[in-house]
Amino acid sequence: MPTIRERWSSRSSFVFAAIGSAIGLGNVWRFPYITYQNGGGAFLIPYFVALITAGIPLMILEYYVGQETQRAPPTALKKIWKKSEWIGWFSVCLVFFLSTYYSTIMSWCVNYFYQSFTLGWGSTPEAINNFFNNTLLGKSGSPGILGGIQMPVLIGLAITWISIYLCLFRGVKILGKIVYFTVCIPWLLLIIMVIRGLSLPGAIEGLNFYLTPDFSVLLKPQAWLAAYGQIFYTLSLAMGTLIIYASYQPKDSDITANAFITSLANCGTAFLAGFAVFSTLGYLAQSMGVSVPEVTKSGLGLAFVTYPTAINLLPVASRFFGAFFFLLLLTLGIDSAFSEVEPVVGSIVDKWGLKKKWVLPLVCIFGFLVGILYSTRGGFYWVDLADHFICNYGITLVGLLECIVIGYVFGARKARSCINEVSDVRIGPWWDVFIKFITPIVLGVSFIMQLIKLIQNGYGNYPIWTIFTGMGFIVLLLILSVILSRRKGVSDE
Amino acid sequence: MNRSAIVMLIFGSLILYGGLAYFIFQAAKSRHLANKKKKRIF
Repeated sequence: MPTIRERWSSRSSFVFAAIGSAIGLGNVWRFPYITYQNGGGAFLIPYFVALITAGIPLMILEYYVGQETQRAPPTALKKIWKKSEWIGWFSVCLVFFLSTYYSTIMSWCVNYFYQSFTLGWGSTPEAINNFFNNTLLGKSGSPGILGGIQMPVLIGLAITWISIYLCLFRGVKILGKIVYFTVCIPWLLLIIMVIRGLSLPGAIEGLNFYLTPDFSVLLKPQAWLAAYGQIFYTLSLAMGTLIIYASYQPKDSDITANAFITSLANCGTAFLAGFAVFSTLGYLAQSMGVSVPEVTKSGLGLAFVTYPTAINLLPVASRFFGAFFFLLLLTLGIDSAFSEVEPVVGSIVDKWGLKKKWVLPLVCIFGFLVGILYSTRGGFYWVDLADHFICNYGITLVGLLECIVIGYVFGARKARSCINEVSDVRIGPWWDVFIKFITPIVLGVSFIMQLIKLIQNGYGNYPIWTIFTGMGFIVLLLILSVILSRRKGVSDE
Repeated sequence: MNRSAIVMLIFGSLILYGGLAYFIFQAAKSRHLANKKKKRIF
């Protein structure tokens, strides 16, 4: 008996879910730094070009694939072209392993949120550094030495996976209500953090570093590649999430305006986050008597070392704002985390017709078990390695293949006419050009450049065997994807 | 803030938040029209 597909309760539920999936930790800790590093305000020019020529066209494509086929990524791509099911499975395998290390980073946020009530991370920059590297992570010094399990990280990981399960187990109708909170609460917290940041002495100096343009970077290819890379990863593209979310939409729903709203809301949040981060960094620099570039960091260093240092120096309510910042990271991250699990569950349910209530807990338990590797003393290095190989090689490859399947095999023009039939805002032939040429070329160049860099210099200071393990793992997932696509499912019977 | 930073602030805000407001308006308008259409049918 054919089952009735779940539906979002409204258009806004879908849009909020997609925005929640796109807005993640990277909006706070990556975008502001990349902007500062690549010419400040001038970086907005390549960033907007990348958004219009690659981000939005690829998002429209993924919404179309999901909405038109009403299926999860593997079966959706199979409906488009029979031989492309493995691409869908490849994206699902990648996003599953992505969710396992993303939930570990969330676990670190859980621990910092807990510590923020007592400012338990220490009072000096050295003490905070020591807290992160030794007390919380207990870094072993090498990915080859796993050491024991760090219990606080494991407990945080269990809390994260339980939260993911609770958000997803009642289906998309309830999920559509949860996302209103997980999107609006971070926006509210971010606005409070911006107001607080701007009221601090030295904030304006920080903002000058964030936005003062250096137009000479526009002639450097690195700035353009950084812009395309940032747009590609920030919008949750090629992870299967947007396809599965769009598959819960009725077939005649709008596509184009939804894609524009999702992309612009995500980029607008990242832009706003820059004000919260750089105003605080300006204050930190002034308090420590150093220049802003000396305290400016990206990623984990910014969130878990620099920001707690700034929080300690706040004249009033430092505990309160510490809790605020980590609650902001938790609420930003949770909807991205469950949006990485949904395509995995949806793909298994769609392919083999299994019940979601059994598949979801199994996926969550398996995800938690994989996450134990990242909870060890060597786990930090594995998080870094998994992130590098999955994002730079796996997801880039999926994006490239999706463009080829839709652009050349299915036909960009045919897809565009279907999109225009249901959308309020019509797209022109420019979309065909972006999907067939611009996006695949940029992704292909980025993939090859990363590969050449890896072969020439390796990755970081990691031993050579970790490079073989990382690449071997990606190849293994490719083989697994082909095997899964050849298994018979309910749709084949 | 220096003048060039203010210019980039206005440029970024106009594109991101102006664009967002425009597409939200388009979405709201289409829903409004759809509701009107339904009313006419029934």
